[in-house]
Amino acid sequence: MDLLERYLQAVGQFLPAETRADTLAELRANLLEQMDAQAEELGRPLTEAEIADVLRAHGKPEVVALRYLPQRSLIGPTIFPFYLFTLRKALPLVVLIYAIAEGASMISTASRGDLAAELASAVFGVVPSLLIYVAVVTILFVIGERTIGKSGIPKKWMQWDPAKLPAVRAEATGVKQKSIAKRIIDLCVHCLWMAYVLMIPAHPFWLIGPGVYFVSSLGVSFAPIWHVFYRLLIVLLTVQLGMKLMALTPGVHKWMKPLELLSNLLGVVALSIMAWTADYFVPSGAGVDAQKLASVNYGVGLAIKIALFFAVLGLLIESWKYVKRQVPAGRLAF
Amino acid sequence: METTSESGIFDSLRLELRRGCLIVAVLAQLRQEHYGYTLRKTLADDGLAIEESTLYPLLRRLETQGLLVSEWREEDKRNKRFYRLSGLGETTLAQLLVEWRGINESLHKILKTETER
Repeated sequence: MDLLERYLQAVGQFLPAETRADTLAELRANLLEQMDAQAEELGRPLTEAEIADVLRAHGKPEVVALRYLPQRSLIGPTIFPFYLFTLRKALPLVVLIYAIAEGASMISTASRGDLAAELASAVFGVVPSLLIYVAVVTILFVIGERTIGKSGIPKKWMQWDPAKLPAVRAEATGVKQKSIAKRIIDLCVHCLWMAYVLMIPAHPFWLIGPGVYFVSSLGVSFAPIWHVFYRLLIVLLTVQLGMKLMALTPGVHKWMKPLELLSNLLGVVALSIMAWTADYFVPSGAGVDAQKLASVNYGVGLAIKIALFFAVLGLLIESWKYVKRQVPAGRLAF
Repeated sequence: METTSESGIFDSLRLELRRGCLIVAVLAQLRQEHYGYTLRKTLADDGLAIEESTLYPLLRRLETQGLLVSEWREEDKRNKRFYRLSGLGETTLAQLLVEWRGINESLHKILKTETER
């Protein structure tokens, strides 16, 4: 019976001290009874191998011991759905707060540090922040489980009024609203884009890279029209930032498409102003090759005109799609 | 051919179906006193085989919930723990049986209607 004692010892290692002796005594009695019944059936004492078979069939010591332990869970099934809901719903807000904090920090330290390194640090820094967020929410719900889980959710919390349910979201525009996570990401990307544009006057290198040295070596500089364009661009980006912030609040979905069309129109106006100009680069000193400068200005002008063409085309298509969705098909028949 | 996932789903549903029924069976069987080994044998003889490693912890849990009472007693020169239904266990068993019969009758009706279609 050495094997049985060894088995019981192995099971006992995983049992709580206060119930160990009692549980093992009961287990021993039951197993001995089972072995006796088998021996009686065979008409001889069990061999070591047969005893091993009985124990093997009874189960692995740690698994057997686990079944004697009370069923425990950090967060029980009653409040687990609320836990998941909270994690999902608050995640975009956490990312937003993180992005705003990191964005503000980057703008304030931009002149001192390397932007690429700061961006990379901000992106990788989100992982520990998210882990802390998950840990904090989990701890709060574990505390909730220990307090609420035992007595059940208070009845007061479970009372609700069907009449207060929000109205069914009208998908009249035919455009499916982006998820809150996508809207937050959209906003963060836009903030980074704005930060980049705002830094260009102080760091022209970020605009065309080594091209800056090429332009200065030609003895030319940016024409004043670029300053007008830059201001328009800032206005456009600010309008878009406002739209992206608005998109986070519920109930503004139907206004988003017209506002988007309006911001596209603003972009077309900015490009049109640029397209009407002939000089994009002007001589900054003597000895500039006028012919070369003229061809550079012509090339830039052509590129802007092509961009304007596609911007107008895109605006017309998007506007047509929007009008088509708003007006019943019969009224659009010519 | 039955896939592994189909068999997994069946096993899991079967386990769920059996879990509640086994508790009712154990409570019903313990209207008469038994110790672990004989209870398992009686259940198996009645066609409801249950693993030792499932039954013995279940007895402990039902005792902790107050549905069973137990006592250590010597029988055939061996100390054994005997279980029987407590007062609360009897009431609970009666309630569970009403519930089970209701479910059983409903299922019979549903299955009968299905066969008649």
